[in-house]
Amino acid sequence: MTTKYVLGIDLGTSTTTVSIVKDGLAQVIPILGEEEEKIMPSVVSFLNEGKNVLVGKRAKDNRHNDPVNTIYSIKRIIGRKYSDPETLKYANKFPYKVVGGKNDSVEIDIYGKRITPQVISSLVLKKAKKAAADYLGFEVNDAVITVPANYNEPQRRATQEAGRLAGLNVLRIINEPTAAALAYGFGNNLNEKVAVFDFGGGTFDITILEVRDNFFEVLSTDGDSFLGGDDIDAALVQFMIVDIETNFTVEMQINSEMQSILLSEAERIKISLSTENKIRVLIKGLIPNNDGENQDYERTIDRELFKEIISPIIRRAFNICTNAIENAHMGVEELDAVVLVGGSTKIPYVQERVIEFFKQQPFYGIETVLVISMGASILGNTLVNAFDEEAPVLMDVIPQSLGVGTVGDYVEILVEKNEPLPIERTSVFTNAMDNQDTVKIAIFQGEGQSKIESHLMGELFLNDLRKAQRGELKIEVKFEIDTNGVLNASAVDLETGRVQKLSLNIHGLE
Amino acid sequence: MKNKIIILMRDEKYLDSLEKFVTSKVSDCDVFATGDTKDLSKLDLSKYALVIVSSLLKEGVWLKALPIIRKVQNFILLALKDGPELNEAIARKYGATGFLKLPINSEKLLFMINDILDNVRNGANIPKIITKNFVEKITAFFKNMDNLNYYQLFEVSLESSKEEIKKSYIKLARTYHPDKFRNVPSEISKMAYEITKRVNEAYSVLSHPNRRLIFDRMLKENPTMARFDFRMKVAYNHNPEDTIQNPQARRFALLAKKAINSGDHKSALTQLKMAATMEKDNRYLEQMIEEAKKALEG
Repeated sequence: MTTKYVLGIDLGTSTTTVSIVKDGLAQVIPILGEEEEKIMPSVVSFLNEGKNVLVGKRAKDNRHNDPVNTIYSIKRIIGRKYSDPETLKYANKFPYKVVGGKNDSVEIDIYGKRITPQVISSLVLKKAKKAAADYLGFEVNDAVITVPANYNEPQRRATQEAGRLAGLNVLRIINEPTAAALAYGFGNNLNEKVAVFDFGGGTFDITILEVRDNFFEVLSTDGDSFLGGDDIDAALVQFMIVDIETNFTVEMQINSEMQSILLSEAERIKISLSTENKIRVLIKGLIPNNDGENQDYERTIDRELFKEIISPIIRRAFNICTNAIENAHMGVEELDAVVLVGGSTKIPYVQERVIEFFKQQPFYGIETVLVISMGASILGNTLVNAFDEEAPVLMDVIPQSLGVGTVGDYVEILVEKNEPLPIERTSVFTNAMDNQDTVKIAIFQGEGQSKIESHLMGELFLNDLRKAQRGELKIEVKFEIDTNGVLNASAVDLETGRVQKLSLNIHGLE
Repeated sequence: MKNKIIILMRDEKYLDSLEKFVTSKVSDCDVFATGDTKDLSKLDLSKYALVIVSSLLKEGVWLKALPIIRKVQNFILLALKDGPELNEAIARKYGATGFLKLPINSEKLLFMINDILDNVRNGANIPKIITKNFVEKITAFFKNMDNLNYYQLFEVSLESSKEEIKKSYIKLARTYHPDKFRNVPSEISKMAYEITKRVNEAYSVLSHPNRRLIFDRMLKENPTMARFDFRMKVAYNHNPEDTIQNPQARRFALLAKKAINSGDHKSALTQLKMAATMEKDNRYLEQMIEEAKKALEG
């Protein structure tokens, strides 16, 4: 019997892996020439005025040569508005040029040409798709792509679009922690409450799931899409700069090339300290000198010092865990298992803190960087091949509340955070003026009940309204969040029963 | 059983070579090749597994022939490069199982044909759960759900415990989750989707102590009410004794809680009973009394 194949793709901030279920087993697809022949850096480098493109390890290796045209960590800004303070924060850090485009979207300037983050991600996905085709001997178009659990609506939408641009038929967007739980085989007869602690390159997520009889119910999820290994690298870079400035009494002018070198060194320090107790740092000719002859930077960093440098970052992760457990309406002692996912959980200090916080030994049996794509492929396989009663069912939740702007500063919450998906809510709107043609409804996502605390996600327009005196129209709008966490809206004129035309504009997406 | 395939194509030369290719490369199949849609009416189309259609079968003819083509289980649409604007999305919309652009990559076509035939042989494109019984069941459930309140939807009572509600939720969600209906006729997957939305809505009320409390009260006032009014914003209750309105009763409940914590279930039961006389019909108190009784017996 031929099975249908579905790619499970973990499109990570720093690396991408792709898996497939073959002969009943989830397996990681080899990608030749990449790290460990299967882990592909999510990096794209444009050569020769953009005529040639490198993707993966070779692109990453090109970072020092051409930092301005080598794009990494695009997942940090995909689906965000250009005016989002977080985007600007990263735009300043990245050596490549991040600019504003249409509809407050983010674009990358490559040799004067504008490219969207979706296109960058699609290039990474295309390579993953091709690797699968090379390995299997035929093309597979169906895919399940994972995203951080706390990704908001536009970020999910943008990821879907990246998949489409890569020629993939995206069956589902699923949350990384849920995928990890699937890969670990929870749910096979067991009734368990599981915490998935996902600390990757760019994001931190904590998800509390209850699994019974292969029913995966997400109880709560929380996270920070700007908290990950990159931040640890950045903290190390910051430390090195301050260290140099105090010990050599110089003022460091960091250009993009130096930044690339420092970042690479930081990553090396971080990775080495997972296995070594201390590491010698040596960067030749880094420190400027008055006589024009640059000095080397040399020092030792041990685990104690590393712990000190990163502890403010790690602390943030555990504050989020406290919230998530509270939102699951339970205590930490009720958890049956803790699963570690993501490269940053390899850091011994992180593991120490996990044991301390959760009061138990965590699981990290399967390769932490591979579990997510494996889990995605398991779901993909059940979506197209298994229709039986025993197939696992995922009930994910909306990670952030969704609401509409009302008078003044107030946001009326329509769907509360952590409600199960799919779900719908209705709300009735009217016209404020006689013969008004269009009603604009502002859509917010976030925690607060005020517009300042929430994130303006976009607008819904009720178009070509029936002519009526003000307050006379009653348009019922149905807001539906689908299983991918993506918003769909429809509207009905309550008086005539007719379908009301509408259009949805999501900021940051063209 | 032989697999029956139709090839429908205007260009005779191409038709010929494709027929030869399919006959030689696909094992165990019966090929009928023609350039004229009229020929199809002579065949029992439901017995055919697959029809391969060229989009340049005179302009628009294939579209007109679509109702006939659809009588065959599966069809692969071949689009000509310079033919009418066609892409995979449009082809899928018309119900095509597969879509290829000419000139066709023969390996791709072969893979597609074998894949479709395998599915037909294994009955894999008709999910096991979609039995006639199931279609009746889901249709009835969908049609009736607007008449049911959340308790009736879950087939539980107002007195049901959190655990019973959860069990019922999981059962319904497992049965109707949209992920299980990916390759089924759209009217069934649509019903499954709508049902799951309603089941989730019900669960978001019944699993939420304060929403449930308000829903129960409203249900008492208006027994025909089916759904919660989500314009009411209700905080999740961290301290269940907050649901007790009478301040005296609340004081007794708190005393009872202390007694339970120190292991004195007897005093707890007395205090809870006192509280229950001051505040009638409070589910939390009733539950506590049950638990205290059990603890005393155990």
